[in-house]
Amino acid sequence: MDGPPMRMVTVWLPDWSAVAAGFRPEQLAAVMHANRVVARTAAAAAEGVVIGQRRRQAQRRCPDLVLADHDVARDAREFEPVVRAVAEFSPRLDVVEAGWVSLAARGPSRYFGGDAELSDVLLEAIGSAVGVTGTGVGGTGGPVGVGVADGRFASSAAARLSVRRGSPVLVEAGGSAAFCAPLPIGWLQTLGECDPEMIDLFIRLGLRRLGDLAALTASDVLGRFGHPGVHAHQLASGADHRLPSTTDPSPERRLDHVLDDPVAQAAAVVFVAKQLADELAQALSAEGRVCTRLVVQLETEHSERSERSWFRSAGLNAAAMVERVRWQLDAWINLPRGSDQEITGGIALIRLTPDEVRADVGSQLGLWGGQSEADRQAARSVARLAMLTSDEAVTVPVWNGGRLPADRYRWVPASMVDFDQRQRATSAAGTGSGPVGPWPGSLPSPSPATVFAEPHPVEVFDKAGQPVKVSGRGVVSAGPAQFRLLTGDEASGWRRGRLRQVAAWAGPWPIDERWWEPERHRRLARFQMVTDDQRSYLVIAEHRRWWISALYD
Amino acid sequence: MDVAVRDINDDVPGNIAGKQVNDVADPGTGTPASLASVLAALGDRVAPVSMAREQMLPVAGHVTKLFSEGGLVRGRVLSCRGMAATSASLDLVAAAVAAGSWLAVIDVPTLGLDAASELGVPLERIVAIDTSLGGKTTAANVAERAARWADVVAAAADGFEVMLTRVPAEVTASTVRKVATRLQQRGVVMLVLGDPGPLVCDGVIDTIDQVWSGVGAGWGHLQQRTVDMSASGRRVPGRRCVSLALPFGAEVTSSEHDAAATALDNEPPLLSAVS
Repeated sequence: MDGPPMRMVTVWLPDWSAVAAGFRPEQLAAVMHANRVVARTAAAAAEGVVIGQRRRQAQRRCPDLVLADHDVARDAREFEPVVRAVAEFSPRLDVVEAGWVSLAARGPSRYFGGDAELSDVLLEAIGSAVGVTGTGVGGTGGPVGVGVADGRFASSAAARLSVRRGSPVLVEAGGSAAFCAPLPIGWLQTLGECDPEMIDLFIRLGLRRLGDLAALTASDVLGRFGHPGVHAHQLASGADHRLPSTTDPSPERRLDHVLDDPVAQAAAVVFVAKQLADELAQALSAEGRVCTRLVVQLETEHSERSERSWFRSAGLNAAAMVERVRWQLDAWINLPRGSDQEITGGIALIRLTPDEVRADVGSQLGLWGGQSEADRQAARSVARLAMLTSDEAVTVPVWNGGRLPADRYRWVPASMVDFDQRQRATSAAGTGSGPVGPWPGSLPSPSPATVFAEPHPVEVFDKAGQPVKVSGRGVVSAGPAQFRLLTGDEASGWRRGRLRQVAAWAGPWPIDERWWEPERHRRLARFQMVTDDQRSYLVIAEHRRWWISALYD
Repeated sequence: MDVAVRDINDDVPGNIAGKQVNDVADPGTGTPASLASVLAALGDRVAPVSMAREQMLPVAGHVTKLFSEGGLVRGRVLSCRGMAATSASLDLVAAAVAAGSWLAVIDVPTLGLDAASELGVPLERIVAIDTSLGGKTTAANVAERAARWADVVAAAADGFEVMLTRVPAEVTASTVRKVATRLQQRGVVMLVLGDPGPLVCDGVIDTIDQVWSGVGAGWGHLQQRTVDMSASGRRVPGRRCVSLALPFGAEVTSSEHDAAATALDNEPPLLSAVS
């Protein structure tokens, strides 16, 4: 823990998801995840579209906004040219996430004659890689920030600041503490170092700037906040000591797998990687350590190689490692033809090397949270179930949001989900009135317990036996009195079920969704119907047809 | 078995155990009589007694009446039937999942997650498994599918303490026996929706009657229902009934029940003029 932290240079491309989605900065566009903006173009930002905004608010600020769904794999894939451009300067670079790369600054900086010169050549190289122009904001591919400082955290902060200032931010050696002091404490969370709960606590205690936290003595912070607090304190005081304090892991820690039959399917490679990652994570956790930097090496039968180092401050668990392998593989497969080290054969070797490990002080676990034995058993069982069936057959729910019951959750493959982060991901969901607040236009509680992915067709009649119609203005021709299920299909003729009498009904609740997107536009009216035997149905009328979309059973 | 032993070890408070061991070790106080009594006490503690509490998963307070044991006994298979079967099954597992067990949902792709969450099931501990592998079940692969269902249930028994499933129609009696043995070994509670087929159920949770309130002839919206549930079956002595308000889980008294029953016939709530 002696001596100044290692000098690092960080390159940050804000709103990378928007660039990866193929939007140009002058286009009004944003990338959405769970109804919130996660990235937007420069033009949209100028119109007032802010990250974290709801879709409706964003569209109010900017009615012509083009929206795209967030896709982590796409971000990683499109980021490959940038990584390759930066790798020209130093092979020892860490990809933190798509749009964010750090590398040790000392060597390249000495070679190019100083930090300023290094920043300039980096900007130029990245610019030619993605069509971004040289200095900071503006250009054709979006802004680029470059920051040089002592320690990873300070340099990442400098890179972010550099985007705002429009020029590289260089913090002189030993100046990281002074540089960090005036920054808001929330940056610890933005840069992925701290839990939102802890930041919230700091703010409530009146520690609004990093300097306020740094002014406390380390032992007080340890006594009150434990190891995560000490970590935050170290970063705030510019003592980002993680790298030099770690020893090189012993070579036997390196895990590799030689595939006798080279495999061409990405899924098979990921499967092998999963086994390796599980083994590695287990071995490390048995020693009470966690890997913060992982080098993933892939080699084909024609001995083309891809090597990347991935960094995550909170530590990489097995699922996170697999995710990195998946990104790297995806990026490699999608390289343009004829480029250097293009993949031409099946993968023959997978090697995972934990390049940097630290003692696992349990920083990612909450006070009550943590992983119980049941959680570990379930995670193991999930892996085995995926082997038994397929990756896509074992799924977990993720909040998606929507007005219809079938839209509100999405089932995603369990292998793609980080079980440690799961609690937070789904508890942010809530059901209509969770932490995200009510979802306007959705039906109030109680919700149907059976939701059909594909609704069942029905016929609905009024008292006189005439079909009930709903007009474009949402007016019902007559009260529904009975309905019957249709089975079979249109081509071979419907088989009609028995008539069920409607004892009570409510509605119509019309919705007109995504009218700005012709192919996904839906316009329908919802009804709740209770039959005389007290069964309840969620019935929708769409395109002059009636469907049962859910049961309250 | 290993679960019971581990829990017993947890159960022995460190200071008491330590004190007794000291007593034994001390030659001054260790007369044969006290030694024997201490050993007997210790023997009682470490004997593999089956403690009812250890073999049970908790249920929410309002449904404890359905079970003579006061909870879901591990290793049992319950069949949920009737008009409110899905909600009832979610209501039964909610407390166990909230207490940290994981729920495997096998072949129930229609499960309404909003309803699960409203009934108190934490969604972060739900994993769904689809044994149809996305394909349609045809006459040719039906046996294969049933075998896969059994494999999946057996594998899931290692990591999940609660399961919610539908039994494939073509599953054979011998396969089902193996599955049931496995569930018992691992102490898994399985709730079956729909027809359990050859699977022998230890109990049947049936919805006898339900009454919805909050909706009328063109007004209101579904707000609440009172559900009369009964538990019966070979492991349930007698027949136990409970009347519940879902989703809020309060037990309904008979007067409230009548009020809810007549709610449908009421006129819509009129707006009163505000001067």
